[in-house]
Amino acid sequence: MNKLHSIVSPKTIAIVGASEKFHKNAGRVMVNLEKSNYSGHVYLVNPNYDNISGIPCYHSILHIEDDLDLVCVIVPADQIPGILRDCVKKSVKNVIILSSGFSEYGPEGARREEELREIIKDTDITIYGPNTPGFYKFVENWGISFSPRFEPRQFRKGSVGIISHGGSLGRAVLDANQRGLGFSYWFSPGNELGVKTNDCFEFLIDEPSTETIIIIAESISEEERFFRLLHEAYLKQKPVIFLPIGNFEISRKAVKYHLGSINENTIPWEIVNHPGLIKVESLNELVAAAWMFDTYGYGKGGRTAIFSWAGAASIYLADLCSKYGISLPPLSEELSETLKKITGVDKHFMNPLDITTVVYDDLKKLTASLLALCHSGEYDNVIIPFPFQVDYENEVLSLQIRALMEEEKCIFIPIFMSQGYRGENAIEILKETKKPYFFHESTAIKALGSYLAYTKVKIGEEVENEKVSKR
Amino acid sequence: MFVKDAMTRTSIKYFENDYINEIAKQVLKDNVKGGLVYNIKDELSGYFTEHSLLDGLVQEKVMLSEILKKEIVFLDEHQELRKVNFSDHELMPVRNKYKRITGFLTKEQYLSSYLKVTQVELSQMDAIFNSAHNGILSIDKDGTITSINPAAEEMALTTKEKAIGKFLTDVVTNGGLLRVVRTGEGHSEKYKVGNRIYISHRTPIFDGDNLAGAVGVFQDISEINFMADELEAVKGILKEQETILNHSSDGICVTDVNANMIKSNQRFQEMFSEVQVSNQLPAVVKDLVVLVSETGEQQNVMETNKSDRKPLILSAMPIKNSHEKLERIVVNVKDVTELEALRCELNHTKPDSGNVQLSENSNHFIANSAEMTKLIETVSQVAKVDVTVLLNGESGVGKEEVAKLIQQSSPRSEKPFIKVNCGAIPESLIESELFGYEGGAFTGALKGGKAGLFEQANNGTLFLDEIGEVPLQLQVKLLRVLQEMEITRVGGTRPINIDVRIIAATNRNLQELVMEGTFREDLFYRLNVIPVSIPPLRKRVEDIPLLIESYSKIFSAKYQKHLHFSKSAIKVLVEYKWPGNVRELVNIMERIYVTSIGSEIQKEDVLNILGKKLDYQSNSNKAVVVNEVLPLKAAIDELERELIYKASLTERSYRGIARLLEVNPSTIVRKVKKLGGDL
Repeated sequence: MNKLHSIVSPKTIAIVGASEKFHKNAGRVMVNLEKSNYSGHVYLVNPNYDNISGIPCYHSILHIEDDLDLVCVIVPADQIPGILRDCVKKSVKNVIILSSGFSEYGPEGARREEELREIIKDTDITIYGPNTPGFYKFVENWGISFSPRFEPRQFRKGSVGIISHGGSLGRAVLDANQRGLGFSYWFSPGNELGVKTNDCFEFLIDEPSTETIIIIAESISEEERFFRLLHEAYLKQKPVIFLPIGNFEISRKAVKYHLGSINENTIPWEIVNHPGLIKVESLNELVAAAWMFDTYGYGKGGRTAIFSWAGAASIYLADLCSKYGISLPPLSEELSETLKKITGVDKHFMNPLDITTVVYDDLKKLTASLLALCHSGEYDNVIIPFPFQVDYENEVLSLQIRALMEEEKCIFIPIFMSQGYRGENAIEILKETKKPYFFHESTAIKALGSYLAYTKVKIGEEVENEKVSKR
Repeated sequence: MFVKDAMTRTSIKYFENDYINEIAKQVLKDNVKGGLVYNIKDELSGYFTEHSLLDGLVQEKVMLSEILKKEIVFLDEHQELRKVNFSDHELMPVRNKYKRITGFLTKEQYLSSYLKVTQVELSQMDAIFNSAHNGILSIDKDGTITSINPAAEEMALTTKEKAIGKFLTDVVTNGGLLRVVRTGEGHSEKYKVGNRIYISHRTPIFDGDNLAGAVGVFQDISEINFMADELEAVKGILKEQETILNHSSDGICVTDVNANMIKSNQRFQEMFSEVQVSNQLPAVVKDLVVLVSETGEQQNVMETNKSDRKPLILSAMPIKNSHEKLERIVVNVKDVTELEALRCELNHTKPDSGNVQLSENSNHFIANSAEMTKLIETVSQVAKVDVTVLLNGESGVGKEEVAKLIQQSSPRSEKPFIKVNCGAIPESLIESELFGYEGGAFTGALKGGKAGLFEQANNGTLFLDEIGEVPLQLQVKLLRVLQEMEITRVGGTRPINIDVRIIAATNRNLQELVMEGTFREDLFYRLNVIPVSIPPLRKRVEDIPLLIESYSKIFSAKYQKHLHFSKSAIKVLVEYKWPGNVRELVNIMERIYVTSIGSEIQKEDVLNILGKKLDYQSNSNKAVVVNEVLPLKAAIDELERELIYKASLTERSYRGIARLLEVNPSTIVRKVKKLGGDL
């Protein structure tokens, strides 16, 4: 049984260091839990208070009669050994240490961390942290966090589990929740004294609501286990989207300096190779790929078309498709004829499509062409560039895409290429769908490429399984 | 609520010359309440509403220009709705902060949203009214109570139902509110009821210019008396602290943010003479305080006291007020003369533990080419992380050397390194060789069972050479071992945990084997996570002279012979294609050392030796050419030797050779033994 199961489903939580200074980290942990959907009981512990905002406050966890499933500690680092000893006395199983001041804090902090290790030796206490920003349980709208911006009731549940070393990049990705990328869990195990990145990875592989796993890491401890888990995730068909950070000498130095990580060795990620691993180069690409998986699951197939009324845009995107291994099969004679009729343009249409600016004069031609393309059944994915801002044309196209999205016959990749302000109504319309839309054509196509490649592997795998079972 | 939350967002443009009847149809279909109309210059010239369209239709007008309303006043998307002055407009265009038109707001939208906002505000007011700790009570101009909140009910010992509609003084004892209605002027009053003290603020209510009533907000301030007592207690604590301060063995001083000394204790004054003389902060303390006030963070330094040369530890701590603003800085100065003495002593007794330099492992590798340098760099990086590695390269490129290099620079360097040539072990034995067997597992098994190579390599490194030769059914088991990190001996039931780092190697294209169906795809993916491919010698010719030099040294020592290679000899060696890679080069070098007579090696000498090899390799029309007559048995031996040799140029494993020659691997093993292992 993975260590995290009991950490994420406690019936009772004690917050050690709770305080009425709600604008400070310690005070916010309680506020953030109170405003969530957490259904269990919350105990407050701080020797300086008898009650906080009318909720009774205990002077020590030893004064609490109830069993504590999870103790959350946010007090200055030098007080933590004492509290941990109390936890041992009370047979607490799980402790989250949010406080910093440990191995990321130089030799003195490292000694302190060693002391904690010593205290829990030969006990069955699991520590999450120290120096962790907590975790979010999207599936139940709550989390342990001291963030000043934490809105658990607005969590958008989804299928993406995320593990980030350090909080900031994780939070950056979590903000994509606003745009429609749904999450299941977020873990950031800090200095990994007990729970390690791999434990979180293992948990998410087995966790039923998680279908896709994002990992942002500066190093992996227990590397071989990581690859075993990666293979397991692959066997369960959960794509692992991975952004390795700290890959160069200066950044390795920074890793040591900022995070106190003693793991100076890094895997040369550029040569790592596994069909279950989607290596990405930017947060933008990471979110793009995850959003595709979260919204469209395993998709519909690999047949992809580019639908454009601007020639150069369609050519440029066709370049990118070739670069990232996306095939653009030709239109059937029939479909080409249909488009000829709709547009009144007497030429043979090809994929990438350029239905030309005749659509400027009659926007019905634009929407009818898109309808014909989608309803032909010849394509699974349609890439639609919005090459620049043209108010009404773009708005009409967006409305048509939104309507077609509801039919769920094709997957749409709308790309807004204009380099101006992003305030067009066309964007607002697609925003409401909460489905993927993109601004960076190159990352959009690259992410689509990775998405389709994973889907293809899956199809290949099924064939392989059949072969095996026939044998 | 802002304009943007109530507006219709659209970039649809109507033009002055659009037909009213067309637009009316469109508007009806889209269910919009109006639209923005542009002129020929694409400038906004006015708007129409549903009503004006209707009007135009009834009056049989044709174009939008005839019904256009031209009073345009722009709204801003981010304007607060309640601050909008809609006045007589029916519809107002809306712009964003970049002054682009993004839509419009109709009067109907404005009113319904405004109503919504007002209702919300009203319910908020209600909530405040009902939950305030202050008592609130209002009367009309006749002195009749119109509202009373729960706090006031409690203070006046009444209920809303009883109080509302009654005259003020029938309900409460103080009638001060009546004076407000009378004079039209508000005031504050402090008064006593029983033994409780109250303060009340009273304000008149106006409806336009007419006095409509008055409201009183009152509060029980009896608690304030307690505060006075508390203040007294705080003073006592301050006095205690003063005493502690003055008896501390550390020097302590308090300054403001501008490094002006506010207070210091006796010890501090003793430490720094300048304090006694001029009440000035010593320079060293001042510097520290300035640093703290700049950074807002605690600072610690070690310094020597200028006056008596004693070592001091100074720590300066910021004190912030409740708004997180820095107010005071406290400096603590500790005399560490004794501590320092102890530390010195410790330093002297500590044994000299210099850094032990790790041996430079890449010395094993003779390479200077960019490709190999990069490879060695990658390999040493990979070595330190505990992961499975797959080595790929032609026969003789040095896969085993790379495997050893990885092992030696890995954290497992002190642990066993076990090499298994998967191609050399007969298929029937390979499973028990790898995983071991229990006693009695099969005929000929040792009584007590035997540990397999995995067990022998436990905690160390297992080098699986010729991984492509592992039979299919064993591949499943191998993958399971890699995933579970446990093995089960043949004939055994109990799984044994193992901790082994796997380095696999092959000279074959595993991807092709996967396509052929002789290698499992999942095992391939699992092994191939970190692929390292080693280039053939012909791709790094710049390393050949280096290799020649190195092996010259080795063989000249071995054979006690010093040979000099002419430039042209080296050129021949560099230009040769080396199908057998470094291993072949080493063999040739040794042959040169064994066979040479003089000490100068010329081009011809090399060509001679290579020529013999080239003969082996040359493709004559016939596969077998007989050069001399000799006994059949000897000829067969010779032929077998030649065949095996030739096969061994491309295949390193017995099984590979066997496959090429289409015989059983055990046949090859037997033949090689018979030929004395010399190819």
